[in-house]
Amino acid sequence: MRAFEEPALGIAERFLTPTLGGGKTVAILSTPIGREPAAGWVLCHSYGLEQINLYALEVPLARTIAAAGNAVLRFHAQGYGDSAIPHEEVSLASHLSSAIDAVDVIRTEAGISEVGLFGARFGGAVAATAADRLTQDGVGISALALWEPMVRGRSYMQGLARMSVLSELISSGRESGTARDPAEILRESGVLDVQGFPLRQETFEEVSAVDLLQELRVFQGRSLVVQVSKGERVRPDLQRLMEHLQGLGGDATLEVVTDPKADRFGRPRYRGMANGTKADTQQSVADAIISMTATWCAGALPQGGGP
Amino acid sequence: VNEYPLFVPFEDQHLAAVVTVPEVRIRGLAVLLQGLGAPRSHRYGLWTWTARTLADRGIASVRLDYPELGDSTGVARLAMDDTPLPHTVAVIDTVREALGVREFATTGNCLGAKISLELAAGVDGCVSVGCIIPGSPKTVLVGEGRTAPHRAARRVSRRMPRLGSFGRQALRSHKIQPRMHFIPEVADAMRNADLMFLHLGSEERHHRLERALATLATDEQASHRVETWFIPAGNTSGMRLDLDLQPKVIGSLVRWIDETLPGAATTASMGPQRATEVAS
Repeated sequence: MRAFEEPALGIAERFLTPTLGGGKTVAILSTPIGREPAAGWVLCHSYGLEQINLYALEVPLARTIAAAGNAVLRFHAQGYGDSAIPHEEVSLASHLSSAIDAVDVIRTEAGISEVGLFGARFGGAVAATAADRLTQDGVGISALALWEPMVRGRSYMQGLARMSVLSELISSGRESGTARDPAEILRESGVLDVQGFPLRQETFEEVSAVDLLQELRVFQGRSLVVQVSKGERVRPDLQRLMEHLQGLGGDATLEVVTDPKADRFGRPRYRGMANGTKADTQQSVADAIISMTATWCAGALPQGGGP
Repeated sequence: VNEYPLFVPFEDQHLAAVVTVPEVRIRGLAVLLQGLGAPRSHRYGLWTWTARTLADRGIASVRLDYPELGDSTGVARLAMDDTPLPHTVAVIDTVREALGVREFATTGNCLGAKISLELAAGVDGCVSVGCIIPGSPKTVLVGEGRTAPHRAARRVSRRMPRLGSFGRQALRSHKIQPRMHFIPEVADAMRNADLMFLHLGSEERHHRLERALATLATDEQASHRVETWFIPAGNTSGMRLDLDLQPKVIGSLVRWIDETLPGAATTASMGPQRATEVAS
């Protein structure tokens, strides 16, 4: 029961329990039915509750890319989901360590040599940084697909800090009712409660120091950078990222997915309705990203033959 | 502790689940059911750590992704009045058979609480239910606890937002507190199994919930434990648990499941009981 095949989806999936980032965890390998995968992709998830919120995008994406003839590995980095280490230990380093180990797992389990990395938001920065470090270590990473990647860590951390203020305001009926300055809380207690996820002072500083352009030094594979926004105007940070990737010698593309609900990307996907049903708030954004990424992937890495 | 991820076939779908098994002899099984939209590990890994703590007490557990969510396949409407009960039963039966256990305890919040009550009401071997009630108990109330004045205020609010807002404030300030009418599954569950509401919220709301549940237990002549446990949490709403609440919730659930499954390590209260417990 560790695996299944669904002909309607065109894929098989198998649970793995690898050691990633220094502890046991759970991963799932998606592969096409009836043929050997031509290339492999590793999905690097985002930080905190975004790991859950974006999962509903990542699973159908993994299955779509697998059905097209690839192996795709998704996993719980240490501190998340079914992993062995508690969430208090999460850091950029722990994300990177799990992602780097996952590349080794997909090569071994799927028997492929060409590997690319995916990631959204914080997961995009993890994917890009892991690709660069692996390239520096002589492990070839062929391609990167990044959706709304975190380029400046400081902005991302400030966004999380704002979220923690919001959480505290919501809990204002509790004894610690008045919302305090998150920086002050971090200084005093060393931990910020970001919607129930612990953000430690060390992690705050570690991520705040990240400038993705500085992290990327040698990667020369193909890259797709996807901006998700309400309008067509390209964001300067993503434009600079694409130009930087091109400057390193890679083939980089920037695409824009426009949607009226683009600002909900990374936030909870489903909303409970008054009639007790669930409403999917990001179906159109997710469909557009999956379609665009699948098309790009078809040309980014070698493709397998038909079944 | 050993953990086994598996895909349980159900019709043409596959349900992703993780079974946590203690090293020692298994006393029973706990079924951990999250609300709509959360994965099998729940937010903050709540179920993952509940499962591992239960395993230390000789209790196996299973957590699963509902169809269409997490790593499960399939398509489902997933609504409070159309729960994935058959899917959940398929997973429980598979795990019970594999582990050779019959009796199980179930716990959950929101949609998971509703499924838990349905399991207690209709599935043989369910010995106890623990429902997490964060803030409002609307999940277990008929019509989500809305009364005619509240519904009228909502209607007015839609047409005339400012006036509707005043109306809702008035309803709150005058403390018009209608009697709580529980969904039928609550009475059905307490006839067959021990029942506990773990309420996270204000003391005032907790006392109302406690009184209402005690009244229902008396009316139903419940012969099992019927209890409300309380974790002070102000005006918490939904399963957005602050860091300090997470270990309290895990501790309370583990204690309840430990007490209500056979072979309890701690001494469980016997017979009808309507106690309030401050789980602090």
